[in-house]
Amino acid sequence: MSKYALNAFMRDVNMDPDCHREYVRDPAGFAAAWRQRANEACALTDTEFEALAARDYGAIYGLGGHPYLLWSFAEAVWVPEITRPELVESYRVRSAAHGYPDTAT
Amino acid sequence: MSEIVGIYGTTHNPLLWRVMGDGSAPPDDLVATRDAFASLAGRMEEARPDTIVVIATDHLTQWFYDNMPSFLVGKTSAVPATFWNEEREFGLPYRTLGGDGELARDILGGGIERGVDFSASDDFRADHSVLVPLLYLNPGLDIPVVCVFTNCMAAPLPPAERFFQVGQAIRKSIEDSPLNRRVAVVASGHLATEVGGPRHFNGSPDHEFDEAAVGWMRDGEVDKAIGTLTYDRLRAAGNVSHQFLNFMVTMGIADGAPAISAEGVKSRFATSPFFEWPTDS
Repeated sequence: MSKYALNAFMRDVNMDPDCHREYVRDPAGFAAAWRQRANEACALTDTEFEALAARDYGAIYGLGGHPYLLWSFAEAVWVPEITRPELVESYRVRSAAHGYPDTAT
Repeated sequence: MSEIVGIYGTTHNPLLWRVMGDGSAPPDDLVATRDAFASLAGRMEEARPDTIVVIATDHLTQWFYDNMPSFLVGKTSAVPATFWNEEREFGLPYRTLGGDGELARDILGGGIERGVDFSASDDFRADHSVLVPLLYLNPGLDIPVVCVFTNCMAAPLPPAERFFQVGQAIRKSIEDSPLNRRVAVVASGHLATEVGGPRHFNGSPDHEFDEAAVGWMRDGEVDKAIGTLTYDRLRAAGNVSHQFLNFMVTMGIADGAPAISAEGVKSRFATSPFFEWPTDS
């Protein structure tokens, strides 16, 4: 079940304007509420939860979140707080630390 | 009987839309890309299709891990295009494409009769993998479409040979359709491309792959393509390069014939593929 929930969380934030707004406003609070209402098939591990609560795209990448989805998510929740070129570069460095993790759910 | 009048393959890179819009005034490094789209658009206009079959991969928007088909035919008579995140990220417009539900049913049924267990949807939505090629190849968006979804995103993916076989089945299904449609097929994919990985947004991550892959299409090297296009080789070319497999479908529709034209156009983005295959197999 792991990774499925991670991807489902990112998809909600990426595609639902209300989720996006709430997560950007309060990442840890939104992540806790999301975790509480998720069904058993969508249970985040503690490590996944912590990465999401911190908007830590490097950690999410290392955990095997789908990279296409993760980039879109990272851009949605970090820009304009940092610029897109800054994010592109930081993401490049932080993902490189993990190589190419297995993304199969 | 229906007839295939054009077989094409191209990119759906949505950053092209964000940077050059409709292509009326592209920056210098995208002029060649704009011109390659215009050339294919001209070819398709000459072919006068009644319907465009688009072979494309949804990016975990409608089709997600909770319900992931390998191959799926969209049967709707109207196809809403663009999701909220695509408007936000790429500036893509919301559009509703006309859908050719009758031909979709013939492709679905014909595929199933021929051993391709297509999934099907009466509530199909299109993301940029469908819309971006059409915005450049049929800017009026006035030709109905049939969308055939392929899973190139969520491993395990069907093998390259299966994509080729699906193309062969689609061809026979179209030719057996009594609708008398003139049908163009557009495969939507990538050459070597990475998004959300250590090599992203820095041009093509694998020029050697690009050159070889364009060569397989140009020369009709089906066995070489099938033998090389493993999951791992495609990932080594870039973490979303698997969408190149959609060109194996059009290669199958052309029954493995060498392409009429095959080109990889370089730009600031990943090298963009532009292919056309002959229709007389």
